[in-house]
Amino acid sequence: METLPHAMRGRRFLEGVAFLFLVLAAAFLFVRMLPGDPVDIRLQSSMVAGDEATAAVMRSTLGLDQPLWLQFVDWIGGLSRLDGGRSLASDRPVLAELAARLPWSFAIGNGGLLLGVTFGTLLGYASCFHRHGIASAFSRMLVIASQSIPSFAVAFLVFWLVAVELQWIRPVFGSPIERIAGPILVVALFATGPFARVTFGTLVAVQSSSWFMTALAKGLSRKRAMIAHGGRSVVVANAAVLVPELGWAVGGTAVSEIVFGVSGLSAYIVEAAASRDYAVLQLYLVAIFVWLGTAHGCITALRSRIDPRPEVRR
Amino acid sequence: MQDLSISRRALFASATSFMAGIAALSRSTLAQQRPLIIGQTFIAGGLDVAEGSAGWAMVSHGVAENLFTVDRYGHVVPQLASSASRDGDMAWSVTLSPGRRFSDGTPVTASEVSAALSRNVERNPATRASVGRLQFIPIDDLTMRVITERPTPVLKSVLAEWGFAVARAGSSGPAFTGPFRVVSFETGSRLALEPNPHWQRPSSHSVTIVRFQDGQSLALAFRSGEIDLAFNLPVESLGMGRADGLRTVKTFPVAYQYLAILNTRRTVLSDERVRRAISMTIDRAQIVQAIRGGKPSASLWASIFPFGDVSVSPTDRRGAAMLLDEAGWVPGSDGVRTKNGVRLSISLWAYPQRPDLATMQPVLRSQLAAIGIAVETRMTEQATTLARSGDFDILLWAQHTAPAGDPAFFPGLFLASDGGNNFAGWHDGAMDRLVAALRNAVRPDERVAIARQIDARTREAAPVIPLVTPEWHVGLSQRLASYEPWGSDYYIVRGDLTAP
Amino acid sequence: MPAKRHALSLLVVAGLVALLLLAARGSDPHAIDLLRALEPPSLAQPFGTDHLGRSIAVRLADGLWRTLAVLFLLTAVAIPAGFALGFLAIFGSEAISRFAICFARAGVAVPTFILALAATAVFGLSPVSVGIAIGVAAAAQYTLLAAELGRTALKEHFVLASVALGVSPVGIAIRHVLPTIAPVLRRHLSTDLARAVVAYAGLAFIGLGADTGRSDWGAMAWEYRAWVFEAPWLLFGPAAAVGVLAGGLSYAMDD
Repeated sequence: METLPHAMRGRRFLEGVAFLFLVLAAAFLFVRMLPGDPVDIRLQSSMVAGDEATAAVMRSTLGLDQPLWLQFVDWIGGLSRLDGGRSLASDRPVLAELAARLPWSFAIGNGGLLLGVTFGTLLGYASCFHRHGIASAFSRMLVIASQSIPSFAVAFLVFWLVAVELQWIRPVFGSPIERIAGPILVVALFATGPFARVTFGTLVAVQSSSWFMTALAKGLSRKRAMIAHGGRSVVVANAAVLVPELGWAVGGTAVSEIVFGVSGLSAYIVEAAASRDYAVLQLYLVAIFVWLGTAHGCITALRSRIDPRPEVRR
Repeated sequence: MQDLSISRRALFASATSFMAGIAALSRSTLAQQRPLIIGQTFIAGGLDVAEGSAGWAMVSHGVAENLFTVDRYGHVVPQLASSASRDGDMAWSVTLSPGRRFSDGTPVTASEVSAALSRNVERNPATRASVGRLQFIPIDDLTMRVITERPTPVLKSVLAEWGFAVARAGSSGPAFTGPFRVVSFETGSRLALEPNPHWQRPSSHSVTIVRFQDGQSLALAFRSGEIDLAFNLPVESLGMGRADGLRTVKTFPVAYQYLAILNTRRTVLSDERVRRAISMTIDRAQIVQAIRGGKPSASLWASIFPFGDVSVSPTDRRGAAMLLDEAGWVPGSDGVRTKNGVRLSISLWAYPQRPDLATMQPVLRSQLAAIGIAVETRMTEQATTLARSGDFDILLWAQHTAPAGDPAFFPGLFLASDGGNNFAGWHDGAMDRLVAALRNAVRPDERVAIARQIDARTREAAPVIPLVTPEWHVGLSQRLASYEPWGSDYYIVRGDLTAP
Repeated sequence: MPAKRHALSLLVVAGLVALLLLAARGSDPHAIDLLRALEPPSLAQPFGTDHLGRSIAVRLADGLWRTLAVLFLLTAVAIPAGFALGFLAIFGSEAISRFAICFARAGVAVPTFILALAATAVFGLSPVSVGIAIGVAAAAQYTLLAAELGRTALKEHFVLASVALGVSPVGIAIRHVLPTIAPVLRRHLSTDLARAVVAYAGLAFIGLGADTGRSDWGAMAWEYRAWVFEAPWLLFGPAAAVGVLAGGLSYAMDD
């Protein structure tokens, strides 16, 4: 039985709305479930003790004395008007605060990962072409090092090497690209290892597949066959690792942002979490879900375009 | 053969083009005359001086001023006001300096100042700590009447406190009277300032204050040549990098004190003998060695103040052990003392915002272990919250104990029974009487004498144990080589920043 | 051959651990000695001393148990949860399966950073809370992996034969699905374990808090962050320890 096209579109739309609602509700509840009261925390951290009257006034100004569902409705209503509320700490619109910082973190996270995928793929290929060569040893070392050396140490070393010793960039007062070059490099360094290993593993598997043998039989050199025919499997495999790596990158940018003094999201969110700045945290979670969801969607679309067949695992 | 070099070449090419692109972009933006760049680990939370500690930050950033201020020798001197005289028990007459203007050109008059300070008093509880609620009444253009809720002989010091920074609510944001005015403010990270044309001697350079969350990155940025003034470099970073003639590092003593606050509400620490034993066993010289700088201090105030005491009694482990024996704490088999089945075990807290405190923790732990006290070291990000909750045994604390050049601030807040920051939970009649006496003492030598008595009483009962007067390190580029740091972190950006 | 490699590398790691513990036996990890501060590695002090004169080797040994506790916690959270949810995803009804997968997808989607923030807000930051946070994230990922691999395994002929013979789902899971999933999960686990220890240092650095009282290797790395230029061996100690652990684990668990 065929469903009518516009009914199906209607159903898809409703599903989308329901999903969006779930995301908003999840973000709201997740934040509100955190123990600790923002007003109490604010008063306690001031130099002199506050009193109950001040606390009550603060609560009603922030709307925290209303029932939870009403606060949720208010929040959603505000979002529809592109008003995410005001930050507890700075009393400025949350949307403006996040919008000023998001591009930095975005650029660092995505830029670093892209660089990491590129270098990782190249490194993986090099390790495959030269088994037991330098590239193979290097990529294995990189993986272990990226798991055992804390990220701030790498960030300090990169800062020192690139800004102090070589004087190639000016992270504090240079152009925006200079400011994010260091953090992107740090994120890329940590991302390269996993992608290199995945590429290598995929290529090894490719080598034993039947169509690879066919390509060789047809006269292609080993390496050309790996690039031309193995490339698709590599992209698919790396795409699978990309989503969890994106998850790491969200936090991974935090250390680089702090070391290089980039006013990105991460340090801001840490402070907002400490002071339970609800409006900031809620909008941040929504933004992260949207970012990751979009990325996931793009990656899945890319993957199905490159390889419409379901993947065969070893 | 070629395919291998394809991948290698690709790798090499992408790496070098990336780096070259960055280098090219960096050269192109070298153009205009750079402002002076000041790197710090803190920055104002907002521009409203009545909010939290923003008043303090705005004065430190060279934007706001008080009626009176504290000079480099610890004396209270005129700033926006020229004099203050006491009219009655709780009434004063304050005269403003003539010819001053706000950064938006408005003249500084008594009515403007009264409105500004009344707003501070209304909104910021910190202003009510010393003498209760102040009332400001303009009499004429340059004279104001100030009514205090509690009698005080040192209104000038009170008005030098950071809660009383003067700001005018202008049409396009607040206007101040300091040597610099705000161009733009990226909350929490960058503050761009330009010279205030209405100040007495407008500076020739603009200033940008950049906040670094981590001291190491501040040090690295300083070494890379981007920072003109790096305030409070971590001591571990001083050895980094080449010693070239381009940069200098100046070390100066500060008026902060590192203290140990003992929670007298806890069973173990409620016994004065235990607290005194702890005080006797602490080896301050070893602490100074561990944090690589500073001076041992057994006084509540730094020795740069006339009321700060320099004498430090030597460590006396035997005496401490005897005190503990007397108090009934018997050494157990594992070296830890016990009494009625309870172990002498305490929690020692610090907070990472002052890295020296974290370094001190293991040192104190080993010192206390020597007399049989087991220590568990803990960290908190929110020191004030922990302090108010009373959920600690010993809390290491860094405090500027005389921000207005006057000794009454710290005891009144931390040691008096009704003190707003009485984290030790100490209630002592003798101390309360001394604090009240200090509040009323008029002559400076009287105040110094009472301060000494407060020090002595604190040493006896040890609710708070002063440890070290730290020293801080300021990195300076050639452009600011003549800058002299003073006033701890209260007066970093000053009008004489670029003086030859 | 794989079994031999497993055994050999586990033996080597165990041997190193034993050596470390032996060297540190009886020494007090908290004993400071300011006269011997910042000594580079030597025969007497294989990892040198830190800024307070404490022996880094002794501290590493002291931190070993806490670090292992974190690793154990992570494994205890991630593996059973991953298997259980994966089992539900493979063998459960349509609805249960979709729910399990959806749950796992959400878990993977939430960045570890946010999980760590939440864990810190609730429990306060300690290596243990970080281990749990990462364990939860890892469990979600393992669920997805287990589900995908398991579904593929179910299509094999011998599995279909088992089903026909009437073997229960649990039996099939243990006998046929487990061997397929195990190597892949082991590989991921070895990565996540190392990451968990070092993640603590990074999270403390960005300001989530720090608990240096009972040190674990991640906390040591954070404590020594200021010395990266003046005395790099301080940071080398915990990094090498984690590296050996990670390397050993990955060598042992890699195919």
